[in-house]
Amino acid sequence: MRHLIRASVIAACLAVLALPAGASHFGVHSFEDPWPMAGGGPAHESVADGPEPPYRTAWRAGIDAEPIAGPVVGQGIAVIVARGEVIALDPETGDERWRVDRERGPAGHPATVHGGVGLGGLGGPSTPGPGRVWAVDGEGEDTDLVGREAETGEVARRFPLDASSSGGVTIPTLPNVPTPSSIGSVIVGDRDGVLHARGREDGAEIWRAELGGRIDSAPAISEEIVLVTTQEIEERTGRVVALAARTGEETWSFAPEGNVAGFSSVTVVGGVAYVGTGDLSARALDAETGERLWETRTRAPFSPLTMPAIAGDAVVFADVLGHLYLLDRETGEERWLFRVPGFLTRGSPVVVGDHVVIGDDSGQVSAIDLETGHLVWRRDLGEGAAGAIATDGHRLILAPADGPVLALEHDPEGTLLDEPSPTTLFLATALLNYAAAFAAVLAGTLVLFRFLIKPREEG
Amino acid sequence: MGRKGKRRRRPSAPERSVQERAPARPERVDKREEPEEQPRPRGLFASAGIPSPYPPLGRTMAASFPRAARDPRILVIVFLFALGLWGAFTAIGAEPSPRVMVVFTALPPISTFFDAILTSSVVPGAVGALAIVVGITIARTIMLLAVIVLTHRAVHEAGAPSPERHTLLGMLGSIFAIQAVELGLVLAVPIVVQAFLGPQVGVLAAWILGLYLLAMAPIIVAVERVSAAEALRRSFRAARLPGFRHTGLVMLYFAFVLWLTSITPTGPVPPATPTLLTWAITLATSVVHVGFLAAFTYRWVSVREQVPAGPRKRSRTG
Repeated sequence: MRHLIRASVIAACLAVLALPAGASHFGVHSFEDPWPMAGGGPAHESVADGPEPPYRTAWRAGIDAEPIAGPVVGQGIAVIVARGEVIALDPETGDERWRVDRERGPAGHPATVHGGVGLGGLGGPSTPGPGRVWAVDGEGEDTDLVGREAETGEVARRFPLDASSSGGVTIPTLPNVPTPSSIGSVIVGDRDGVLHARGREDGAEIWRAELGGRIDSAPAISEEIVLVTTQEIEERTGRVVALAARTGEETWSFAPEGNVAGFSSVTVVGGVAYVGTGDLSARALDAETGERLWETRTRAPFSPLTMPAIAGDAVVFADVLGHLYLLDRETGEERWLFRVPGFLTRGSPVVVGDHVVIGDDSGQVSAIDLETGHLVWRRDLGEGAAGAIATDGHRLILAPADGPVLALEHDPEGTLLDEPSPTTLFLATALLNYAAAFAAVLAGTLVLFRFLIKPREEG
Repeated sequence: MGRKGKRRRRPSAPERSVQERAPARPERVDKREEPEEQPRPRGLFASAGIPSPYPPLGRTMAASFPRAARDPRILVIVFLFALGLWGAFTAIGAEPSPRVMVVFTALPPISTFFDAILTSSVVPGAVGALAIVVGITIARTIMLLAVIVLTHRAVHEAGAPSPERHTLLGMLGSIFAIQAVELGLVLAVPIVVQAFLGPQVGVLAAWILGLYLLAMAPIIVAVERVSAAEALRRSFRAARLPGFRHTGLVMLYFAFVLWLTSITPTGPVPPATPTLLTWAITLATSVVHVGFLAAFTYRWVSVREQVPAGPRKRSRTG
């Protein structure tokens, strides 16, 4: 009997080890997911291996559609959600892989994930299967969460939601959300303030949390916790909510006092949740308890599509007016502040090596040195918002609102700039400029009105 | 036979005599002989055909603007105030853009409105923001009083004498109170108006209403040495004198401010360090703001005799 058990265990282990090869044998390809969802992963660290600035254009792809979400890179494709279409491109060449219709309506970031081959009962499959692209289709009561085959774009799964959704889809990659099926789960919030955890295979409701307000942000997941921000637009209130990943039970929430709106998405790393709140604060909260670790004043509120990016022992926040703040992760102390020319309603910072890269609503992509806080590279992509940035490790991929999708790669022959933020005050220069203007305007006005334009004499 | 011949003139509002009257030296009286109040025409456009007691716009500007703009003391005070205000906003982290800097020395309530908006955008908490707005308004009050007194002297060579110390504090208090009323007006009116016209229209309507009714109030305090309540009362009555000339000056100034804030080059990101051009535009536009202040001052002195003082007497009917 003991031999039988030992043989069974060894057989099971061999079977698990053999699964990837087996999957490949049966025509299921294994792809890496370098940037499978908003923030590069379920915790939203927004850290990429490369490439570093300066950049040059690797490819451009005119997609003849208006991108509203994405891109993400995973399962061998770069995915962009447009108003009425979902488009997949080859991240290396920009060639179109497939293009399919979607029901028109708002959409948050899509997510790519491998399909997984049954390991049973846990959320994150460790064995690749056929890839899927998850995105939201439709509007209002006709909103669906749709899983498409990454190879063809064909609809594989479609689960109804209750309301429009524009925050983004998050796929837990750790086995932290139990699912009745073997495939794992997908988490998405909607504009009725409901956070849904669904099984990816059958759409079964794992849990559903009614948080109130509306969820326009992408949920962040770390180990046993799901964190999301929700806002009541008319009452101008909002809160950060933490839920148990297994049950969807609310464990804590944080709501700043006053009439506030403008929360970012949450980034959770090392047991700390980083979030921008509508009371003009960048905050660090204990992810387990909600305890306030620090808060730093910002100059503007935040867009729910923006999430803090982790830069080693610092964190980059980006507010809606285009200010980037590099803050110490331990204390919240500001190391530098930089302002990009456009607002940041769609763009989010991405840390690439020693730089942070961001696309703003004016269409400019900027790279800022993490050490100095100076601009080292910029490119104007045109009129529309440059939007979010995804990467496959070799290229940065952007889907500007009004232009072609493009990829930027490192330019070994390019040169770096060294421009301080326009928010930097050079007091001596300001006073010298004032003194010169004072003398010129005073002299000009006196000459004009004493010698050239004389007052009318009263009769 | 021109249009003039067709107009009916009210014998009690002799336009010609007002314009040609030598500017009177203001008397230090609290209770002037109250002119007999004329029955006012009713209705929005009822006064359209009635000649205005105010001097025409061209004459007003020609007689007042150059006199104020040629006085270096006025220019220096206004220019230094612009620098001080920039320093204050920069110190609290507000980073005023060039479009805001060009209205630093605008007439209240436009300037006070921007003071409040800019401060509240960066200062957390109502108490802190209020304290800073009060501080800025005190500085603005001192600047305004000095400029009005000098402008009055420049426009009317025999202008008001320098106020004594004990009346000076009272005048400062009155002008401060008037600015507080104006600020309350421009913050409250949009809340009421935005319900049916939208927030932006509400703000613009509040600016126009504030300028129309209250533009002369600080001038009246400085020239007549009266209380805030009396100055508000007379300013309100002066605004409602027959004809559209006061409305014309108000709308001209409003249009200038609107044009100014829309054409001022600001760049994609307003720089924290103002350029030479930014300062030059800011100071040059300050001269224009002073010119309009001189115009309102000139007009007040022209009509002051026709504006009843004191509370309205209740007439017994029956």
